[in-house]
Amino acid sequence: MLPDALPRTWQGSDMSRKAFLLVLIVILSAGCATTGTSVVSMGQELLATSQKTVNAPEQLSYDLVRIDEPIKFTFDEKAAVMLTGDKRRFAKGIALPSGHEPYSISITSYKSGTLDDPSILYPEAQILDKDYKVIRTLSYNDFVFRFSRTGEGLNTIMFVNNDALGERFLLLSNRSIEEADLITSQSNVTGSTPIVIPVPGVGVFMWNVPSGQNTPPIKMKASPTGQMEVLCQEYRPRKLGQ
Amino acid sequence: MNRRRIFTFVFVAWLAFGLGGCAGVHKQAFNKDAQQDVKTIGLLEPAFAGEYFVHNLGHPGMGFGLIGGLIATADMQSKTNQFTVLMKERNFNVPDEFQSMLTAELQKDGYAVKVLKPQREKPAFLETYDALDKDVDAYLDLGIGAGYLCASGTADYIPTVRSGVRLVKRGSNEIIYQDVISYGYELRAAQAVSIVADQKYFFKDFVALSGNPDLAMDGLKQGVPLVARRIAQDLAR
Repeated sequence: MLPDALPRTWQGSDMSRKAFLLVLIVILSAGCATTGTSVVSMGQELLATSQKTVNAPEQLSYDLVRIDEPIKFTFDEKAAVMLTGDKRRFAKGIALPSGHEPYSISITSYKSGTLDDPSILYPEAQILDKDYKVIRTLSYNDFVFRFSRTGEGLNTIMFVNNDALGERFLLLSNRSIEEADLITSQSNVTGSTPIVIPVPGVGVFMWNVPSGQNTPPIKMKASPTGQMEVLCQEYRPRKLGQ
Repeated sequence: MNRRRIFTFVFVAWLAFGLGGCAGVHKQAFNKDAQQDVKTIGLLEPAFAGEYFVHNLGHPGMGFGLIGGLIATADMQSKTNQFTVLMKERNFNVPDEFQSMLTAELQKDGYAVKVLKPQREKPAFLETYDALDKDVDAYLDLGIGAGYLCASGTADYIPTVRSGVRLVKRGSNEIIYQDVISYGYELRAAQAVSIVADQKYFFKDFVALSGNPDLAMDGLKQGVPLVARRIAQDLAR
């Protein structure tokens, strides 16, 4: 039985009741973000049990990234798992643009989990030639934690300057990482709290009083799953005044 | 409400400027292979506003229109003045420390460094480098800001050291590197590289902050080499 105080539209048909329950579930679940601990746990289980395995880079399919067109993807149940000896890693292959050198490749792995329990996919990035041989491997220190318009995460930018080295493919996977090497993040949240004071005969006065909080520094747990983005852009440094 | 928006805009712009921050500027990663001719860097003395800020970004006064905003600004300026005195009494000079550390880091990575002393009309990037020493391959122009920020009256004061930095190639005037490196409190609008500060340098309020100026200064001093190292690492790749 729905309460009488509900709007008439919510008290009507079964369809309306279902819609109300759906809205209620959405509202309630909005406050229950998945913690980093859960993300890591589910990711590890997925990685251990996935049947979408390949044994070598050439067995992956490679999506072509175009200049100025970002590719977003997720290491999840649909992602391929690369087997190297007894190690399993999620893997994504990207075919690099040709004929646009020099250009930059920006790789971002976005933070997940909650403010108090964050996690992130620590990426390993390798550049391969046409025969899928590794030409370059980015080091762990090449990634920085950065905020951007699309979110916060680990980011690096590398360059392909000419065709001499034969860079053809980008291979991304999740990096296994020691506890001591986990990167720390710290969050500050600012907002405003509305204060409403009813004044008889006049109406209401409302103020939006600024508010905010901060978390302590917290290490971001290493998750095998997560969302990533790759963006290639032609290398054209701006000049002063541009 | 419009007045509040105007105030907020002015305040945020001023804050970004005071931090030597360049919020929202175009970012340019350094491409070392394409810039192999950059061997000698003209390191400009950092732009610095001359004070160590203490700002509450969720100051309750900011919710009460123009008058409240003015009160908030006055309160934060008063705290900034007090804290600046405490830092200067301890001979803390963030631009000098930053410059010497950055010089050492760049030299360690193989660059020759020539320190230049430009005439700055304001604490910001120079608009032109034509009048500077021509005996370098590129000019490393930068600002530095240091102090403490909190998200509201109930949040911690967190140390902040921030540098807006760019490398401009002599002759072509190309901006071959530009970024914002931030230690401690993160202002998301700046889209900066973020380096986290140790929690032992968090202070629950201004009384705690001003009551322990040596620890507060340590909190800032920890950030200076980290920011310098990050810039040098970017230019070494």
